[in-house]
Amino acid sequence: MSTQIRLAGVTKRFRSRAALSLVSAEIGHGVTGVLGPNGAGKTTLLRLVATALQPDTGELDILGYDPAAADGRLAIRRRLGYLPQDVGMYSGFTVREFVDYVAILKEITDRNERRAETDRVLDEVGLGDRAGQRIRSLSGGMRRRVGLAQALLGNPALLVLDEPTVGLDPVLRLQFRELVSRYATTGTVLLSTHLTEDVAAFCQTVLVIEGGQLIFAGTPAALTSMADGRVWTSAGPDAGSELSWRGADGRYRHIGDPPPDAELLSATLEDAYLLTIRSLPAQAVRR
Amino acid sequence: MTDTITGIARRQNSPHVALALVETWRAVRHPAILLGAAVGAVLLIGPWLDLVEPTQQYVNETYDLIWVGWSPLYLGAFIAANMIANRERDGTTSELFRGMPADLAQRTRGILMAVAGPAALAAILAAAQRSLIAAAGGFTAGSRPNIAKVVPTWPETLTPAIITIGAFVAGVAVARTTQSRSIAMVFGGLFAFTFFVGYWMWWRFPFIVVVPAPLPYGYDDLGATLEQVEVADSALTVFDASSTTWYGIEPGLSVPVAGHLVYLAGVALLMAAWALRRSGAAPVRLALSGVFLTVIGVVTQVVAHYA
Repeated sequence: MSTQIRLAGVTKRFRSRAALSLVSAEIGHGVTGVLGPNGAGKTTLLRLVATALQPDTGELDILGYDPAAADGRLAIRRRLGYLPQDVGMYSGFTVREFVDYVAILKEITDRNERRAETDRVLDEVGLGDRAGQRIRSLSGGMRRRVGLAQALLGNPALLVLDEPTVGLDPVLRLQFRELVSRYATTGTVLLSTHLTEDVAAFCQTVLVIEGGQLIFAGTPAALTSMADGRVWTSAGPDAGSELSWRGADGRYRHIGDPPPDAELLSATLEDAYLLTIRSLPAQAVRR
Repeated sequence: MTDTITGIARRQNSPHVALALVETWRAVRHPAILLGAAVGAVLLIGPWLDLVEPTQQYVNETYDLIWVGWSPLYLGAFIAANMIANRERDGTTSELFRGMPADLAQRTRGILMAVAGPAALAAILAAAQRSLIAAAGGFTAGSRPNIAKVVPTWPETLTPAIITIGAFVAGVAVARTTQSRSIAMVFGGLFAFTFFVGYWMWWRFPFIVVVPAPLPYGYDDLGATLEQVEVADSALTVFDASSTTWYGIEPGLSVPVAGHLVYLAGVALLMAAWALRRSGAAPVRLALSGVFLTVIGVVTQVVAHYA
């Protein structure tokens, strides 16, 4: 795996609060998912990689360029597709006008080329027939697809997507996964999500962030295996579990250290993620 | 997927030029500009459509209002520019655009260049106004018996375009100073009220040198009774009832008006430099050009006043 993004001891503070603290990681080609609870530092990490923020301390290397230098930052941005958590699109623009506007900012200055590229990305996200529609009239899911379309402009080598599947229905999420997976065959995708099923479905690597610290970096399978033997079921609550919830069948699913006679279940990525952010000390799981 | 390096492969034109084209088209279609242009046209062009000089409510009304009357367009240009430049702000696209190759300075430059649209619109309207006035034989300036028919000179006709440029650039500069559109609207409204609705308060030296709207004619204080002074044969006179004073006025003043336009262009360049500075650029040459033109414009007007 060739390293596309390298973070070394990266810290970012907002006033006195450390949003990221001494984070080090190496990210290669393919899809990397960033998991973590709200306020864990996922968005800060993605903003750093998207050159929207500069770290207070530590080093970043993105696609072989140093974002601390102006020319390095420009080189990264020319290879970047970025979808922030909240795009805040211009509601009075049509879909085509907005994507075309972003294409200009991505230095696609030739009008014909811009038109072709805009058509291509709108078709990619299934909005080709909505190009003339005003953004104010779009649903939340459609706006998200417009956001994704602008990120795909120019076939970027690096896609940074913050909560890209929020607001998408199951069918659109499937299409999104397929689209991103296709891009990731030769490029690098870094996305944050709350949805462990997204990570399980199409991420080759997963980073788990909690309290501004990276507490896991590895494959989804490796993360899942951390919960092997630590998930069990019972008819009622179990005081010994770290976390439990009642399923649709009325039985309880527990994670933690099971009792000797527990009825063990196969662990899922969600079990492992919950177990990781609930109980494991950072040093124990850091890879 | 091809690992296309979009910018490097496609940078035949700087993005601010392409952006300027898009923003120019959006600016001339902006409701504030269209409304301002429409109101100005109704006030200044409408009365001349039948090629007959309209009745003046007071002596020299047409001459006084010939450029000031376009103030709705100036205010529209300010509002439109501010709204265009402030589209990108916290809570909208500022976060998305931080990751773009075209940085804020380039984006601001593109919007500033879009001033060409509103300026062209103002120039066309002023040219239409002048053409109608000329076709009607001019407008009456001065009080009887010393009156004349006046047609604005072509350089003077540039005035609305230059003021529109200043207003548009001011809108961008204010947007790069504060993201609050409310503050910008209050500022623009107060400015327009003070210097365009209350234009007459400033039409005396030295204020006339630095306010936005130029005095389209020169004047001399001739005293309370016309007979007390020597009036040149060619001079027009205006009796100001409020001060019971006669003024001798001189139409077609190319030099002071041109000096004022140069001053306005300099101020516009300074405001553009400020907007770019606030966007992270260091527009030293632009700022120096602005200072140069401003000084030249002021000096020209002062010299013309004392000449």
